Amino acid sequence: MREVLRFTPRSRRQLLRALIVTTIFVIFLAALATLFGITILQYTLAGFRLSSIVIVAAIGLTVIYGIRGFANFAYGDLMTLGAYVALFVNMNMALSLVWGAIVSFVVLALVGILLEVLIFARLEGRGPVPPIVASVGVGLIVQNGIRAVATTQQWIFRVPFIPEIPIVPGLGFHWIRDLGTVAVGLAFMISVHILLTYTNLGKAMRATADNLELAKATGIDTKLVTYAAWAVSCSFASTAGVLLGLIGVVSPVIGFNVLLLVFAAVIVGGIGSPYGAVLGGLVIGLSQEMSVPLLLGLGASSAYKVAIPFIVMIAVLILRPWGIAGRPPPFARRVFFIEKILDAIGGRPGAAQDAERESGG
Amino acid sequence: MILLEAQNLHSGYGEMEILHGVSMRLDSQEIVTIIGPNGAGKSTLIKTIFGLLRPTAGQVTFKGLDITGKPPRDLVLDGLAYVPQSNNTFPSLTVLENLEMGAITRRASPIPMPWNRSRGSATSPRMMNDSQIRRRAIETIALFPNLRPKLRERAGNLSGGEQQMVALAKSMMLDPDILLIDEPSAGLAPKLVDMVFSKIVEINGSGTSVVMVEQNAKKALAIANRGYILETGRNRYEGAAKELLQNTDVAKLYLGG
Ligand SMILES: Nc1ncnc2c1ncn2[C@@H]1O[C@H](COP(=O)(O)OP(=O)(O)OP(=O)(O)O)[C@@H](O)[C@H]1O
Ligand SMILES: [Mg+2]
Repeated sequence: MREVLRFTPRSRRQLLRALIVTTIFVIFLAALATLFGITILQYTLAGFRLSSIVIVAAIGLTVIYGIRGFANFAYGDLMTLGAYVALFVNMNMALSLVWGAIVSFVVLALVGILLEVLIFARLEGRGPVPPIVASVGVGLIVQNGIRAVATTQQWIFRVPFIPEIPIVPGLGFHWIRDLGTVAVGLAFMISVHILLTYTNLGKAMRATADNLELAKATGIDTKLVTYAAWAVSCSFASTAGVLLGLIGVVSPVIGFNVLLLVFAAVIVGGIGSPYGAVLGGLVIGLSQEMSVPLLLGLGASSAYKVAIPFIVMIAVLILRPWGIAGRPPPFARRVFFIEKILDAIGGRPGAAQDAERESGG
Repeated sequence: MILLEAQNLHSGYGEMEILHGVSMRLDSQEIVTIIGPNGAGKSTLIKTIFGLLRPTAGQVTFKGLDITGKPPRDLVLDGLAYVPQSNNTFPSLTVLENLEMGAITRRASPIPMPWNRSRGSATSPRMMNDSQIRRRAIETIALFPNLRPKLRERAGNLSGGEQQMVALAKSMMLDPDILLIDEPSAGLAPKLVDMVFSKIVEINGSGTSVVMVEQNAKKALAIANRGYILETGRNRYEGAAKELLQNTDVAKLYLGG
């Protein structure tokens, strides 16, 4: 039993890496703050806020990709739907937004299961294209359904008015919009980690994502796992949608407008990996918001910031086509530049075994 | 005693029939090997027995009961285990987690859920909780000492031989009556092949009957009690392993001279 509880080389390696990256980031921020003044950290805060939302959404999107093998293009509109369900509870039933978010979480989980039962289960075994096309259709129906029911009007959640707290002039934070969003993002990350690492359902989900056939042959209830994946995916969409509405307004396109950003986060992180979704979300969110001072400094409009995450995405894909945390496909022989950096900081797991396997097989 | 019997199985993929009436049986305590050229339908036979493919005709019985077309999940609960030919571990799960998955069908849910399909099963299998599953994993790993230090490594980072061991260990988690194993020696160096085969003999010695598909016909027959030779989806030869090894036709055609 002893070795089960041991702190393993793998977790030590990962912790070391996380520490190194965090330290580099903090040093980078400190350098920025001393060079350009402390108010530049406002953009970092905005970056973390956006990242939190993108991460929640990206985890949800990547979970379904992992289990069902297709990109759910309805995901943006499911986020919007989540925001509107919360809005309904918030406005019409005059309950706090927290209740709205909880109701929305549950409703969207059921919507997800319903989507699987009614549509996507019927397309199983037909390759990735039919479900993608179906998901585009679902997205159109949801988005225009919302327009039909709730009009194209913009809404604002009813939340208690709290003024922004200034730290220094030009740098401040808002309890709900900034800290609330980041806290929710963190809570979701931790929940997903617990689900995937410590529960049988989560392990079964990872197993099914790894290899559906083997999961079935092992006796995993892959139907139950699939429903659970849809429930997780869509309830995460609802929360991401509520957060989007919270930092801006609620309109029929809020989710759709960030869908590409969420896709970018998933791709940068490595498709199908929830941990990759976290990394990708951070990279995408921070790069978009922190590019603003840079753009302004160059005399360009800050409106160009929406392009930056995609430039970053392309750069990452050139260095590492399978994303930051994605597993290289077996045919990938080239050791990429970034791989060498990872080797240098903490070592790449399995490098030795790769060589052994190649010579053996 | 006949443990498992397949009679006149017709099966395939979609419209394409691969097995045209294959029969085989496994007696208790036996190792039976199925050999034959590439594409003969050996894997298809095992998948059909294990409920991954549904036969269009024919019957599979286990301990005298009809299990034709029964889903794998139920067969695992009944006491069968299957190790596929390739991709037989979950690469992103640790070795320990792979083993845990091997016992997932017996994992008692903390909340009784309507979808817990174990209810109504004739044998009412013994359910386990997480710590019992852990303990069972440690017991199982005792059979594979070289995996002990790697319990927390991802299976995908192990060597081919180690992964084959993980797959075997995973399938032994519930101490099955029957182990169906598809080409355990595929892609392994000769030294490792012997190692895997000796593990299979060991598993058989502990009371599990084994159906083993193999390319490595000579070595397989050397450890088996009986053998079947398939060709283009039909039974070609069958008999005691010793006889097949000595049969000149068989030797010329399937044992490489
Ligand atoms: N998933 C599949 N879909 C369609 N045809 C398949 C599939 N799997 C196998 N086949 C076909 O079925 C036939 C028998 O395949 P099978 O895998 O049973 O052969 P095998 O005897 O196990 O061969 P090998 O020794 O190469 O593993 C082959 O002609 C193969 O092309
Ligand atoms: Mg085969």
